[in-house]
Amino acid sequence: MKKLSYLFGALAVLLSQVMCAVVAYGYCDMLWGIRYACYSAPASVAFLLAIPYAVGIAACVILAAVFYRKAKR
Amino acid sequence: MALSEKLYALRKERGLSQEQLAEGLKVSRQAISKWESSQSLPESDKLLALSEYFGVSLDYLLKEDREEKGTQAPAPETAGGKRGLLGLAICIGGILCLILWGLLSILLPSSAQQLGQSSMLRIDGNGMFLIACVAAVVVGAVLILKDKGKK
Repeated sequence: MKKLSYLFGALAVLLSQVMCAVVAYGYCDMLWGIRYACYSAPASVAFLLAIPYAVGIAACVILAAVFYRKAKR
Repeated sequence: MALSEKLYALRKERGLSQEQLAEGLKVSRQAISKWESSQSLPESDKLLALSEYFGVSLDYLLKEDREEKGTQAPAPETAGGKRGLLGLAICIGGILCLILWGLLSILLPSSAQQLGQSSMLRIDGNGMFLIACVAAVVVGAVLILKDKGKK
């Protein structure tokens, strides 16, 4: 149980890192596209990419907390 | 039945030799022989190992008037419930796919051109993949939590 809680904790951290990287990359790409490739969407659209990661992080945190509590009992 | 008789009966029930049991418990064959002939008693850590090995309770092993085997403390919860395991697999699979997709979109942008076309609101192949990942994570988490709630 404890191992599972650590696993999900680690996955949450990993997901947050990947989320930051993906959003930052997307944002930069959008800025470049708006400047040189006539993108019509605003750069902030890149933040939409954070949604699936946010859901994943939330699920990981909840599962880590549940497993941690179970392990403590 | 005394402990020695119970050990002998359990060993025979499983068709094990003294050597095999000794190997499983990481003790010497002589120790098993002594336990079975009541020449000595297993230490507490060995008793625990015996109860786990045979899947019986410590009560059953130690109490002479207790004939029913009882059950050992529940098996590790990770091993319990196929639904829980399925949920765990789906959830972790979804998370790994999310991570993989993120890395791919950065390292191989050509494979994920979602931002290049400034069409974030359109659900294209990448969007469908992300939705599938999120659905897998959520479904997996729900299955795990339901399984844990039952226990």
